[in-house]
Amino acid sequence: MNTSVKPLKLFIIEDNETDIAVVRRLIQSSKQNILLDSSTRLKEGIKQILENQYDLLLLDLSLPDGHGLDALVQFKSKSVHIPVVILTSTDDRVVASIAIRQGAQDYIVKESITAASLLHSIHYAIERKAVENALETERSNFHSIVEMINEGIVVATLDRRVQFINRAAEHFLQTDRIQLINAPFPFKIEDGEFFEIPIQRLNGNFGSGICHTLKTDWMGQEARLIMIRDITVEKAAEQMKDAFLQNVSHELRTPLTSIRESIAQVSEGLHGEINDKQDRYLSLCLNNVDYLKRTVDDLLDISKLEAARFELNKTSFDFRDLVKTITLSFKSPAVSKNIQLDKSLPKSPVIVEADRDKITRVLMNIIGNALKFTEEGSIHISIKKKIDHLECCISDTGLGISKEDLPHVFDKFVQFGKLSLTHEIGTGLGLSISKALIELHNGKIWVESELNKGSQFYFTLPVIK
Amino acid sequence: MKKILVADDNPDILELLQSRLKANNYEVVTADNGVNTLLKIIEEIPDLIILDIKMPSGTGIGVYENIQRQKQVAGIPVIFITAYASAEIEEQVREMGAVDFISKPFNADDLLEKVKKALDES
Repeated sequence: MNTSVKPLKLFIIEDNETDIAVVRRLIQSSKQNILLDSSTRLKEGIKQILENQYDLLLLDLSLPDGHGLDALVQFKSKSVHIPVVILTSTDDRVVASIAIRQGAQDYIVKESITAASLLHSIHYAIERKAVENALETERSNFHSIVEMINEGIVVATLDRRVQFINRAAEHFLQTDRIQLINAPFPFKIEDGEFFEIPIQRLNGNFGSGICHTLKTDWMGQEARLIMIRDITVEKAAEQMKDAFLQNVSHELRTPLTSIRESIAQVSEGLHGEINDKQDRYLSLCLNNVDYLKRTVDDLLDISKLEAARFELNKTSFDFRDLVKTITLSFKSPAVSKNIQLDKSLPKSPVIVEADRDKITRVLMNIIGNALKFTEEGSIHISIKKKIDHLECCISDTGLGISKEDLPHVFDKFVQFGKLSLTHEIGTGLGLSISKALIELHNGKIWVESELNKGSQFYFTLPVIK
Repeated sequence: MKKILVADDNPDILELLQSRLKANNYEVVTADNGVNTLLKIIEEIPDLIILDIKMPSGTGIGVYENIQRQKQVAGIPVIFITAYASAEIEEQVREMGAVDFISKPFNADDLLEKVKKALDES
């Protein structure tokens, strides 16, 4: 310390001139580069400190024109970050410790003062104040960030009582922290879930917010951190996108209706006989019109699925019945391709609570694919009943999928294997829709396959019993 | 011969539906907007109504609600047909009491089957 070029500038407020002299002598005896200014009055001393830069204040508490603690209060309110060492007589120790809580860094008992203890105290107070300042700066930086962001932040106890709330959250919930601290958070807190609440937006209008809750610690107790984000604009955009997609699909389907039915009537000979060649080309037209229709349908579905706004119409049914029905509907196309189609089902009912139409679609899709890509051999459908779910496997002896393609099977617009035009053309969306539908039912879907060795598509669904 | 009223604002689709149904031995009357449809229903008292949902001057749903309030036509079966096909719309019109639902583009076999079923059951 004594090697520093700049002298240490100290100030002492002490009404007893003798005590000032003692302190001055002790400092001089240390031979350190320290300057000492003094005042015997509180007001004058504070004035000097506010006007000049001092590195430390030695402060007596009982002064003729006021109490030393007043100085601490003034420094705090004026953001004066000066380290303070309290000079006290033996019987003032209680007051001295109050002073420390008020922001002083240390205290010295005048009767037992020595050069060593004084210097120790001075340096200790300066270092301690520097650490306190650094912590305070850090705290206030974090505080301004938390207050500035437009994301609402609330901390609540497990019984929902609010412990902390930032500016954005105050605004969203139309409250202030004085009202809400220790009061219950006005909405049900769902752990780890996203839930929507009505909010007042930062611009004053009303809108929607999405809350996300995380586990956190608060004062050593388990608590909940609730983050609230304004999603009004996103929601409006979603609704616009929905309406737009609805209109686009209507505008595409209407001309497709005319095209399809015109071709169908001509190709059926409703308006005069046609030859074989004409018939073949009209069939091509019909296939392609149907492909366009499916693409429009699939695009509409996938956009709804991605927005997670697909409504499931759940009923309870025996999954075995569904598999039986669907297998039956594939019987004749399988027979005409000379492919064996069979199934193995559990003996007892497999009751699921699911959207029958959507699961039908998944099965139709996977079995349809299996049939499309299998030229010889068999397709086998099996259901295994596990503890709380069923596992359905559709296994074929078809083309299989290469190692490179395997990770992309459920991607959008992915098509593997070139097929002739006589096949029903896929949209490349079927499996990604299937995946979304199964996941919407809290199930999983995956594939195991090797090129030229067939494929096994698996999916799971929760079962009731 | 059973009489079917087909209401659609698209003249192409109207013509195609008419020729398809005529070829299958149905008598067909047509209407191309909501008000005309209502007038034709009361004038013709058809055995079945095929009703497009989106039409000018009164949607198909509006027409349907209107005929439910008129005793002499309230019992006529209605099949809705729409290019706004979605499970939600289908559910909505079925709950209203429509006997069936056809989504555009339609498949002629499916259409004829639904028409026959609706007429047989009425």
